[in-house]
This record gives sequence, structure tokens and C-alpha cells, in this order.
Amino acid sequence: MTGNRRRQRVLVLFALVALLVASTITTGGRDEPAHAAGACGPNDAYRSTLQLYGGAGTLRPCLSKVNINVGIPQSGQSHFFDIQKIRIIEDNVTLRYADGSTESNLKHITFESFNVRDNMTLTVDGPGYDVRMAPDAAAVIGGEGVNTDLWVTGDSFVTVSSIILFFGLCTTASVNLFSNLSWLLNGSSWTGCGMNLDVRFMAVYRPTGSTTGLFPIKLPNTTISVL
Amino acid sequence: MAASGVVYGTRWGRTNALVLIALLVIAGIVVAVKQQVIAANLVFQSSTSQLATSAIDGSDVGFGVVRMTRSTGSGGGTDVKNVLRGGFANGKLDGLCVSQVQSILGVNMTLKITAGDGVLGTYEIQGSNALFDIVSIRGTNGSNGSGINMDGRAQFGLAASDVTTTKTNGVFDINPLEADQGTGWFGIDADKGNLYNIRGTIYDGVIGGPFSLPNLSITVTPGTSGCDASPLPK
Repeated sequence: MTGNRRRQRVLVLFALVALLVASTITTGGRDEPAHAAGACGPNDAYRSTLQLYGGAGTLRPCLSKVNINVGIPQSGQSHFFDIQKIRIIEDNVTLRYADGSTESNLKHITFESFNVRDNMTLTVDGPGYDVRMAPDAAAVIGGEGVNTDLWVTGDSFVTVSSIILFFGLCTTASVNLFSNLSWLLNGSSWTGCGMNLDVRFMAVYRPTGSTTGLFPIKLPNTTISVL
Repeated sequence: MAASGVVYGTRWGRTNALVLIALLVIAGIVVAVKQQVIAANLVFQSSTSQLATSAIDGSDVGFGVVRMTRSTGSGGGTDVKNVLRGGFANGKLDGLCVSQVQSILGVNMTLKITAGDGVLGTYEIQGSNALFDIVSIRGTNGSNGSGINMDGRAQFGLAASDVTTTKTNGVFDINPLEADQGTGWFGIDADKGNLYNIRGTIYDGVIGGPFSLPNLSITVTPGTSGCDASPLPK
């Protein structure tokens, strides 16, 4: 190879690298966001109005109509989560979604001080995609002094045990039965064996005092992926 | 000169002039970013990149699934990918590494951009209106903090177009994630997000506002050794 040709090749390679770097770092901003006439339908008419438990406030979310599955598969009598109280707040809720459609017969429930020890996966089942949030082990979706309000389907269920009830055995209760069991669910702290919740909307909040500082969502050693 | 009279060879003068211009443009951009004169816009359209940082501390945080149009890298074609767009109205990073592998003349080359002061917990990289198009992200435990955390009132199940991050004159901007309107696009909204010991795969990252990148370094090396193969930047 002549010196001239070697020099030529080095220069071509160098020019390509320079082009790569230049195309990778560009300046200026992104296009301005596409501002809609209304953020959620005409005059924001497609927002839901949702009351948080215990007078903690009113939310007016624009809802995605995407199911969020909170899954903790049961494994024998192993305990995977703890909840201080399970409350049924509203038994027949209708949500309005961002396209103006509605869904009825949903249940509004609240978990007080919800802590996950292990085995939980949140799977968002969107059209043509899934989002998976998978902590390796423990996670907090609420935690001490925090409420987790969930708007769920009636066939969602939790499997819980209590030292003083059911001989400590894991027992499953459908959310459809929560109204009948409210005296029981509200009256005891629960150790959980499993759950399968189909959630349309979830709000995690501190009912009193400052809204920040507690970090109610804690996902240590967690992978979030779009599939 | 060939016998046919056609001239072959390299016009070194013209080539060197073009290379010089390219280098001056790159140098100007790097200097401007370092001096916080301009915003930075890191774009990797055709393939994914590796992202790593010791920590992100962000306020007014949101995540939403959006459709991203991506260059397929051949014939000007494009396709559409669903990504989780993470938005931070204001953010500080404790070290940053972004890398991407490109094939040049059949040889794998890794472009790596790093910044940081090398000290854990100083959050020396600061910017506003940051967006990352995430394929996957993993936060882990470390001496500085643990995994992925959100503070304030967190909402799951919003339409991605309803997620709020940036403000103008004290009012939240509409649809800062530039998500599709309507149903089917999942979103999460929180007041604050602290992410620790982060490694991930992204399509692109944008810092919309003034941006400081101390000790910015850009390297191009043969092979495929990117941010995943390096210790977390700090």
C-alpha cells in the first residue's frame, strides 16, 4: 500500500467519525409540543372527577384506559406483602376516559400502609405494547402513613392471611365481596399471600401533612422496560 | 493521471478543508455546551444507546408511553417504536455516560460521551426540561441510594398527554411529553423523582434548557465497549 492510499483511508475513516460525532451532537431545541385545544377532550370534558379517601382531595385526571395489572402470584402459604387496612370506598364507580368513553361497575378501594416484600410485578397492558415494572424483591407502593387508592375491576382479588382468622391460612377475597367484608377487612392488619388487581387508575398519597418527603414509591433493584 | 485522461485520486486540499470545518463545528458545539451557552440535544435516531448515571434528582417528573418515529438508517426510511418517555422539569445528574455502537466500513466503533466530576453525590450536571426515550431502565441499590423512587402524589394510569412536567409563567405546559392524545397511552405523574445507580437503554435524550456538562469527554474507540462495560459515572 502506498503512503498516499494509507493516508486516504485514514482520512476517510476520520471524516466518517467526525460525521458521526457531528450528527450525534446537534444543537437547538425539540419541536414545540403539540398544544391541543383542550388537554382532555373539548373543554376538558373527558376528565374524571375522583375523590381520594378520607377527604384527602379531589383529582381530575385524564385517564388512559390502559389496564395496570398488579400481580403477586401466590406460592403456598408464603407471605409477600403487608397492608394495615383494606377499605372499600365506593362500590360502583364509573370512570370517564380520554376518548370520552366510560366504564362502569368499577370499585374504589384503599390500601393503608401497603408494603411489598417480594414477588410483585406491575404490567401495563397497552395496545401494541406492555410496560413492565419488576422489582427484584421488596418494593413500596404506598408505605407507612400513605394511602394507595385504586380503581379496580370487581373480579380483582387479594389473598390474605391473619393470625387470628382462618387459622392463619391464605384466603382469597374478590373485590366484589369487599362491601360485605368491610367490617373484617377494615378491622385487622393483613399479611398477604398474593393478589391480582386489574387497575384502571392508582393514586398514592400522604393523607395528611406535607405531600412530599416520604417517597411513597420506592422500587429498589427494579427494572422498567417497554416490551 | 490515467491513460484515458480521467483524473483519479484525492483532492487533499478540498478534503482537508471539509474535515477542518467539521472539526471546528464539533469543537464549537462542545465549547458552547461546556459554557452553558446552548442547550444540548443528543439524538440517536437509528439505534439504541446505553445510558448510565450514579443518580438523577428531578422535580416535576413524569413518564408516558409515546410513539417515536425512528430512522431505519437506509434509504431515508423510518419506523415507529413505542418508548417510555421520561420527563424532568428540572434535573441534576451525578455523572453521565451515553454510548452508542456504530458500524463504520464494517468495523464496530463505539462513540462514548461522559461527563462528571468523579465525586459521588455532587450532582454536578444540571439542566432543565430533560426528556429520555427509554426502552429499559434499571435502578439498583448503592451507598448513595436505592433504585427508582417517586415523591409527592404519584398517579398511575393517566393519559400520557396529561402528564405534567415543565411550566410557563407558573402554569403547567400542556403535553410536555409530546404524547398522542386520547386513550391507549399510559402515563405516570409525580412531584419528584430520585433515581439511583441507573443503567438503561434509550433511543434519545434531550436537554431542552441550559445545560452544564463539566469535564465533557467524547471518545470514539474501536469495539463495542460502551457505558455498560464501565463503572457508573459520578
